[in-house]
Amino acid sequence: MNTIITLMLKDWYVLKSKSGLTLFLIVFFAVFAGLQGGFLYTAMCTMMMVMLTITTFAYDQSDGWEAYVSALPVSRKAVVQSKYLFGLLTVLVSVVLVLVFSLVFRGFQVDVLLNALQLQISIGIFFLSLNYPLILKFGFEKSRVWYILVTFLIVGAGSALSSIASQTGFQNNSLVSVFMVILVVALLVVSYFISLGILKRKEFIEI
Amino acid sequence: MGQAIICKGLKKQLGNFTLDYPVFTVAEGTVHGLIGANGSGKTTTLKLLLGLLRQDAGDVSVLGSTNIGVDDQARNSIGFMVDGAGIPSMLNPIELGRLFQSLYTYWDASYYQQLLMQFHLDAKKPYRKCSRGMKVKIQLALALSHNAKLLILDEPTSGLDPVSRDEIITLLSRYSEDENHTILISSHITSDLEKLCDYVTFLEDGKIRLSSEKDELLERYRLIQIPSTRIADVEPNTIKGRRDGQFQSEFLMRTEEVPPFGEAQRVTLEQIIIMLSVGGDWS
Repeated sequence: MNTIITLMLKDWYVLKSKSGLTLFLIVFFAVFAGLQGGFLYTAMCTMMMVMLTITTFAYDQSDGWEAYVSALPVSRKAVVQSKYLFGLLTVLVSVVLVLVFSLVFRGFQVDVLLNALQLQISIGIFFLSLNYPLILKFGFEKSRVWYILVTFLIVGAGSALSSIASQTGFQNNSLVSVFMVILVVALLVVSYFISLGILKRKEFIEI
Repeated sequence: MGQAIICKGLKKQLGNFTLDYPVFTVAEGTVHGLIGANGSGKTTTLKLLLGLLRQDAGDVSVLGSTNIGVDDQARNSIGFMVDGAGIPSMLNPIELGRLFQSLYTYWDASYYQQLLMQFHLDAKKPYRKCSRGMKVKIQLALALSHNAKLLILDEPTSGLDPVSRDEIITLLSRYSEDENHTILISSHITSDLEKLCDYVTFLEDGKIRLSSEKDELLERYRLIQIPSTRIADVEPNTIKGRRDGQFQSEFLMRTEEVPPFGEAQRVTLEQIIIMLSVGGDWS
């Protein structure tokens, strides 16, 4: 566990010196999410937060850290675990930020808070689960194309399901919410094992 | 004396390049230099030894570990510096020290501090803002501060000014004085290797052309200057390498085969490599 925390600390060191504007935007979106609620600001706050963790992959790959850490007395499993934990931690921070600003500006509203919570957790986990294995497999630059393709397929499938649900008269929102959370958690688990497999097999030919 | 590194039947294919070593060993307590042109297989060898690449065939043993890629304990005893495998550029030496202290079991924080001071490194300056020489020194300080038994270094003195090079060679010499310490170092700068190494291995196109004790190698060959008029008197089989000028030729020959009419000079590693690489006879 000590190793995982150390690797997360490394990511924090990397981010703190280069993320002033992004951190400002995250707080900006959190403030507006707190003021007005709604999908856009809440989602953007979480997306920007996860984007920060994705930036650490870009630095790792351009610095050659991915190779370097693989030659340190650190298991590749610990490297993957640290990335996922750091990602989940940033999602949690974005949730806390939106909750705090919602409480400050609009007071305690159970429905609003639960919706924001479900939305942020779902979007955050979905975004990181999709990105991490793609970046590990294809590198930061090439993974963009794959990310767009995979997102298009998943969102397309989601739209199709939603359309089928509305045609069949299925309108149980709380059930859909639970289903969404289960789906993204399952995606997270699958994503973790895929990332682990990729990094364990990885050879650093061009470093 | 045991072996710190043993490679047997090692093969690795990377595109059109094939690395193929029947046997390659590095004895414990020695400094072993890898010499070769770009693309000869130096970095590939070092990456295989660090577990950054997996061999297609053969056995690799590093500090007794036959699977270094998953053996964290063995990697605890290795300090390294490999081309392209870099430390996080945003971090400064203080932050790096904090990280490495948690990652290595035998981290020596006071020695790390001592090296930073000895190298006149600004402990708060991010790595990305450091000069090439400073970056090498930070990497070496990290590699040397966890009581490593084996150092694997890829071109550590490349691109450095003579003073920095000398500083690093002196530091490595001091490290190698301990009989439990082993260094495998690759370099283009053969004069550095000549100062530092006990053994040298020449690589060409992924093959080991020559592997020998350095002093024995330097004694094995002589550089002979022969006037053009006497070239016909030299037995062709004895010429291991040659460089022809307008009025005389330079031949690389085995010491015992030097003809009496030639002017024999001691050779440097660099001269041996150049003469053998340009159509020379490696046998």
